[in-house]
Amino acid sequence: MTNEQFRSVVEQYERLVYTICYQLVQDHQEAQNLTQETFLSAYTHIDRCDPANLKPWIARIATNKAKDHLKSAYLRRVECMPVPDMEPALTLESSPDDIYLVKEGEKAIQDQIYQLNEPYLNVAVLFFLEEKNVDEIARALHRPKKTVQTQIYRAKIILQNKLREGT
Amino acid sequence: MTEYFNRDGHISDAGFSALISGGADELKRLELAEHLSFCDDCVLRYSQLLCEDTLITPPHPITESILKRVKNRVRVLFFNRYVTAAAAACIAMVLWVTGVLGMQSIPTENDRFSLVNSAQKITQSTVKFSESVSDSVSKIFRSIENFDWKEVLKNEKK
Ligand SMILES: [Zn+2]
Repeated sequence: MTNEQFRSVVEQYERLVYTICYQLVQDHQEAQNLTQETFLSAYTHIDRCDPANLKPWIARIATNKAKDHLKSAYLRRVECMPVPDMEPALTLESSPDDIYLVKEGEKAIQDQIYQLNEPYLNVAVLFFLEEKNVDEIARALHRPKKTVQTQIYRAKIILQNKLREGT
Repeated sequence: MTEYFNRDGHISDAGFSALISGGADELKRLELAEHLSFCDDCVLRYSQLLCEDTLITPPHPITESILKRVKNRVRVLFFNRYVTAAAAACIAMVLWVTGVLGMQSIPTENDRFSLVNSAQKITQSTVKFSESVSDSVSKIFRSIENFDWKEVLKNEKK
């Protein structure tokens, strides 16, 4: 692609890319940076794109850049939060009363899982109730493994908060 | 509360309208961005929803700075490639000058032995090469030292 051809791509799509970045990150300065990053990526990989799909292809790159930015901002904020631990507490020495309590607890967890919304509902049902692993869930839901991992992690936090509120 | 995602996992109408109107909080926007970054259907729908009159114009002009950064990147890539090529040419020249490229004479019965042997040979030749370079450099210096400056001065006076 010549510089002139690339210039016309930038001129044609810069408002689209800027709008996507701004709507996702809600910050003009950051949207401006992410727009530049989007076009730099596009320039490097433009040979992989079918010219007929140029608009959604560039829109996809923009959402990816915005996602990376939002994610690192989110992680910076929740980094200090403790990792939730939801291992079942049932051991060999548990008395029938304990078992009853744990079963009750399991039922409460199950109810809370079914009350989750997407994007967490399907992931949580498959992971916590059907005990599928990340690979299987990623394949079943057509989502990247990394996304599934984050969604499981966030579902744990949401469930833990809900269960704490419930008691 | 309106759901941003349908039960099938795709972004709902409410999700798109919250995104476009700016009503989604940060975590919701992260969830939407995560979905858009892998879902062809939703990214296509989103880019279709963003028609000409809903697009935002950047507050500062952006095209020229993008093109400038692209040019810089191309220059860096070209420079890196040039440096790599130059380094390869340099090594090839060292090997050529020191005769290591003609390695047919190395015995091949024992691969390990021949490998060690050729490694030694390369090291020796490199040493020889740098010795010969420093030899010629010191020769030049010696000839400058031994040069008969008095003769030159005498001739000048004449
Ligand atoms: Zn989708």
